[in-house]
Amino acid sequence: MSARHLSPTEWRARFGPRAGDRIRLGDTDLWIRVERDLQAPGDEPIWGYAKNLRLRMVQVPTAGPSELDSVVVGAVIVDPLLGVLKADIGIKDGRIVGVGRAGSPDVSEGIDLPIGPHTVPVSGYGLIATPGGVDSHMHTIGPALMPAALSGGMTTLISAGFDEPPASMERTVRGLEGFPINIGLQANARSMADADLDILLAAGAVGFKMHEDYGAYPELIDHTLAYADTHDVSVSLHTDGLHESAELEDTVAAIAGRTVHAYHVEGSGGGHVPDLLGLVREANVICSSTTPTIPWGVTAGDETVAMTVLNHGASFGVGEDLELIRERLHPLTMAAEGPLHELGAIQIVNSDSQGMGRIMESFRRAIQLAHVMKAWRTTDAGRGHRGLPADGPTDGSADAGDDNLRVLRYLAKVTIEPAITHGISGHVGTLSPGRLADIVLWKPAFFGIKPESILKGGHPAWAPLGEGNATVERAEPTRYASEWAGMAHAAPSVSLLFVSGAADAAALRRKLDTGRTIVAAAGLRGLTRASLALNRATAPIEVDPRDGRVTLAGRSLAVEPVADLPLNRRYLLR
Amino acid sequence: MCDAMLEAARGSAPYADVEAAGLAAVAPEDVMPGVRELVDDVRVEVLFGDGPRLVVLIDPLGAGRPASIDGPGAVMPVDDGSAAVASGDGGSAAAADGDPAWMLPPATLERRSLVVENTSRRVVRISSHYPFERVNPRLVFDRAQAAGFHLDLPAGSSERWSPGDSKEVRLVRYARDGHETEGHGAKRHGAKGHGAKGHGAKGHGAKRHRAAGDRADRANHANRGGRPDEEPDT
Repeated sequence: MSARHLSPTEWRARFGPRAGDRIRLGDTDLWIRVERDLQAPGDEPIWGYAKNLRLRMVQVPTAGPSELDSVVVGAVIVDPLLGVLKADIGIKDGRIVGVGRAGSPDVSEGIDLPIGPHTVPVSGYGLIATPGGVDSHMHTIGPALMPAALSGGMTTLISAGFDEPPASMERTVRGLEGFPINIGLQANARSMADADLDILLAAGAVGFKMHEDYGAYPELIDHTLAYADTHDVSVSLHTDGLHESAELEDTVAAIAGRTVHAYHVEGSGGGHVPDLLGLVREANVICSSTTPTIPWGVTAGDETVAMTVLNHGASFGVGEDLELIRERLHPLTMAAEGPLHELGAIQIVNSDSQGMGRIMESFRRAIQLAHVMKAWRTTDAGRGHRGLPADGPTDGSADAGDDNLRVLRYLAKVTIEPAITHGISGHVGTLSPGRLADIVLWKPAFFGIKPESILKGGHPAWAPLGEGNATVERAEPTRYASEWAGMAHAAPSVSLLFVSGAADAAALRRKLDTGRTIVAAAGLRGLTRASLALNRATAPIEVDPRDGRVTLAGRSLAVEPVADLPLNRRYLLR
Repeated sequence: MCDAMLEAARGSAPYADVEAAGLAAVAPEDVMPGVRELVDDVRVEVLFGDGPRLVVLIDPLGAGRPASIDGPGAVMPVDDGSAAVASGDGGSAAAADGDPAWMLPPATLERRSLVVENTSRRVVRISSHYPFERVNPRLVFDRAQAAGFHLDLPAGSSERWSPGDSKEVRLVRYARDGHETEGHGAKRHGAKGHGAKGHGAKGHGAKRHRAAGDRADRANHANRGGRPDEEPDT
C-alpha cells in the first residue's frame, strides 16, 4: 500500500548515521560506532521545507518554563563521559540542560527537551558533536593565537604562567575580552612569601606555574604547594633540567604526595634530564605532554634545538647555550611518550603554544596519536604490556569493530582530563548537563582537524565562513571567522573568566571591566589520577639516567617515529 | 576550480560551460586518494553578463565513480538485514513495498488506512507530521478516523496528491505519552493549557531519557569544579 519514500542511504543522507553504524574518523584508522540513539524513532526533529520542526508538529505550541533556547538535533555525540551516542542536545541560558530526546510531548513519547516557539534548531545530522577542547598549557604570547585556537576546536585556555605582574594580567584579560573563548591565567610562583602569591590571586590568577627559568627549587615547590593547598588552586610544574637544585627524586620528595600538574613530561619541553618521565610513576602527579612530539615523528628532533633556543632566552651565537639545549633532547623518552599515553599514564595533551608548541593542534595531535598507538598495539613492541587498557565498545561487548574506548580515552586528554585537573569540570570538558554549551561540530571526514562549527555558550561563534554577498552561506573563499557570538561585544556574554576562589569577583569585574562571567575554579587539591575520567594509570617505568631509555617490567617501552600521519597532507596545503 | 569557473564566466561562457570548466579544472588523479571524499561540494558566486550567480559543483572530484565505502569520514551501515532493501537505492519506489520499519514510529503504535481523494485543482502535499484531520479540506476522507493520527512516513517525507488523485494512505497514532484519545485537533491546539501540561519542567519520559546525563554524573566523580550555582559573581 505505502510506497517507499526513503532508501536507507537516503535516510542517512537526511538524518546521518543510526545506532549500530560505524563512522571512520577523518582518514585515520579509527572507527566509532553509534552505541545508542535517544531520538524519537520516526519523529526525528528536522527543519525545512516539508519538514516537521513546525507548529502543530514537533514544536510545542506555546513556550513553557523548560523551553529551550536552542537544540542541536541528531548529532552523533562523542563525549568522554557520555560515550558515543546519537541524541539531541538541549541548551538554555548558555548551558546544556539535557542530552536526550527533543520535540513535542504532544507528538512523541519520552520527550525531555521541548522545542518551543522560541527554540532555534541547529542541525547536527551527519555531524559529530564533541565538547570544546581545553588547552591546559598555552602561553598568552599574542592575539594571533586566538583564531588559531578556535579553528582547532579549542574553547578553553589555561595559561602556563608568565602572565604576571597584575598589570600584565589585566592587559591580557582586556585584550582577550572579544574572543569567544574561556580563559584562566596561571601566574608564575617566583617567591616564597605568601603575600607575593596573594597579590596574584587577587589579580585573578586561576593557579600557579613553577618554571625552571624562574626557579623550580624544592623549597619553592614545597611552599607553593602548601599555599595552593590552603587556597584551593592549581599548580603546574616545569622542573629543574639543570639539576642545579634538585634531581627527579628531590622534586618528587618536595611534592610530597600533593597534587601537581607536570608539564611536557616527555622532557623535550624542559625538565629533569633525561628522566623527567619518571613522574608517570606518581599518582598525585597529573602528567601532560605537548604537541610537537605527539605523535613522535621522524623530524621531531630536527626542529627542537632551534625551537628551544628561540623560546628559552638562548643565543644561536653562544656555543654554551647550544650545548645545554642539545643535551635536553632525548629521542628515547619521546619514543616512550606515545606508549605512556596509550597506557593512560600520561593524562593530558596540551599545546605549549608559541612556547614550543602549536595551539591549533591539540585535538588533531591527540587523534593522530590514538591512530598511531592503535597500530603500535599490533606490533611486537606494543603487545602484552601490563596495564594496556581494553579497546572496543564502551559497553564491553564483543568486538564490534569499533574504537570507541580508544577514541574516548584520547578525546578525554584534551577535554575532561584537563578540565578536572584545573577545577573547571563543572563548566567545561564534557557535554553533560549543566556545562557550558561549548560544542564543536565536525564533519566526520574532518574530525579532529577542521571543525564545521563552534558553538560557544550555545551560540554559533566560529566557523569557516564564506563570501558575504553570496546567496548562500559558505560560498568560496571560506575562512575561519567569527559568527555573531564571536564578535567583540558578544563574545564576553558567552565566555568565562576562571579565577581562584580567593579572588573578589565583584572587585575584579570592576577592575577589569569585563563582561565575562567570572567563575572560581574549585576542587583542585587532593586530586590524583583516580580523580580523572579515563586516563588514570600509573606506570612503574624505569628511565635509564644515561640515555633516557624507558623500560616497563624489564621490557623496552617504545614506538618507532612516524613518517606519515593521517589528518595531515590531505587536509592542509603548505 | 573556482578560478577556472570565474575565468570561464569572465569569458562569457554559459552557465553549463562554467560548471564544466570547474569540473575539468582538477582531475581526480591530481589529488591524493581520499581527498575526493573531503570535497562534498564547491560553491562559488561567479560573475555572468547578468550579474553574479551561484554555481555549486557536487562531488566535483567524483568523476562519476561510485563513492568509496570506507574513505575518510565513511559511514559503514549496521548490518540489520536491510541490506537487501539498500541494494535498491536509487531504484524505483515501486520496487519496494514501504519504508523500512526502523524509519517509522514504533510498530506498537496503532495504524489505520484511509482512502483520501484530492478534489483540488492543485497538487496537494502532506508531510509526515501534519495532524491529518486538519489537512486541506479539499482532501476528502473520513476525518473522524484521522483524529490523533498522522501519516506513517519517515520524518520530513511527504505524500503527494495530483488533482483528482485518490489513494489509500497509512496513518499512525501520535506516540505522545498517555495516548490521549482526545483529538490532536483544533481545540487542543488552542494556546491555552497546552504547555503546562505537556512540556512543563517535568518533561514526559524524563526518567527514561535522562540516561545520558545520569550516566555522566555518576561517571563524573570529579564534578567538583564549582557548580554553576556556586559562581561567586553572576
